[in-house]
Amino acid sequence: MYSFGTDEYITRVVNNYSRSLLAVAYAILKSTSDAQDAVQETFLRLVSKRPQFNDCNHEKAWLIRVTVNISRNMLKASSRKNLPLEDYMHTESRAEDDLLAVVLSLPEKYRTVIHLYYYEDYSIAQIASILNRPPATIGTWLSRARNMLRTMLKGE
Amino acid sequence: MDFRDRYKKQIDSLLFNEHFECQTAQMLMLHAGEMEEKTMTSSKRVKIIIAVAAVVLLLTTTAFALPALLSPGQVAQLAGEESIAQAFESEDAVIINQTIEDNGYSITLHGVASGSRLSKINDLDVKEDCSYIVLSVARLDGTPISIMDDTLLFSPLVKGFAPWRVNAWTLNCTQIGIVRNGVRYFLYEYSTLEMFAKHEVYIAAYDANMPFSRVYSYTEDGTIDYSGDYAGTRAMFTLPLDKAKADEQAVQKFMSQYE
Repeated sequence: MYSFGTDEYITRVVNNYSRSLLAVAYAILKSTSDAQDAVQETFLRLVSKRPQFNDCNHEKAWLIRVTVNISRNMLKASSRKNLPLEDYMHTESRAEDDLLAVVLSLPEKYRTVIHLYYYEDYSIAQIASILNRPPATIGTWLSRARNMLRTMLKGE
Repeated sequence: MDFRDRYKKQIDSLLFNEHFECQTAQMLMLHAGEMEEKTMTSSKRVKIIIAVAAVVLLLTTTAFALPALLSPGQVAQLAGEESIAQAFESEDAVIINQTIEDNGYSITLHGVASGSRLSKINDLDVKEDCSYIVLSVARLDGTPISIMDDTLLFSPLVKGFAPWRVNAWTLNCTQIGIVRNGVRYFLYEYSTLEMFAKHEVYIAAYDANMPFSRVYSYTEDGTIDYSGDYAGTRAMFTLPLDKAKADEQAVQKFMSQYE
């Protein structure tokens, strides 16, 4: 067990998980600055809510789930306000790299699954648990996302 | 280089604010400090009330008494969850206040609020498909528990369902902990437990440092009970859920993820 709220605890979680959380938030939001906001909000919830974890894997999965939810809410909020967040960031990422730009052009649920599968190396069952969806749904999304990527990358 | 490696390389090459980790840690430390200060201020207020109550008690009895426990609504309110506090005032809330004493601890199940009526509370923080449960842990000798102390974990268990399939983790548990007057309170949010109402639903407390299977046993006929050879702290409460709200279809859907 660890002591919530201590400097050591905060330093450990921020150092251990920032990069992973920024990456998943970026995969959803397509913006480094928005990803940073989402991850800071995630850590704030961790310190405020003080959830208990069975182990580090459980802790990381909880943080990823909260980051995904916060990022999705930010996307929804930006679309409600008619802010073209995705389109704006799409140009930013395309300039950086074509493969990443292709992944980022997928619908949100597909790119989230692709990210968790290929970047975090989670299994379908683990992704299902994190995203609170049946494994069969995740399998379908992953398969469709791969097909879309295959088609898009062939056209490069 | 395959897709996985290329994708990882490109994600890893993204440039974020180079001071992000340092700034975030500083912001969190400040926030944690403010929270602690708030806790201590409220604690002082409660201590004064308890002190007055203690004087009244001393006039009538010399027996040692545990601090007066907060209500589930008060716990949610002190945890900053106003809408959940309202939920505990609603018709759907069941106030239980059952205490089990074990291994020097007094473990109390205060109450549960769950169900579709919660959606009347117009707040995103209260989900109609979730159950909210308040529990507390106090030491029987009166030694205060601090927020830093190791403590117990709580998990729902359902008779007839393997604990490794239906538990806090698979039911998307979120927990907020607060300490008031040496008593540690927990506000838990789980995916709705009402769907299991046709079965016996328990809330099981166990030591976080022990493997769950050492503390509780699960037999082939679906019975969940205390494991015989465990000497640590534990407690198992039965939740009084309304059987009319059982949803076997939802249970089947939930369990289908393991097929």
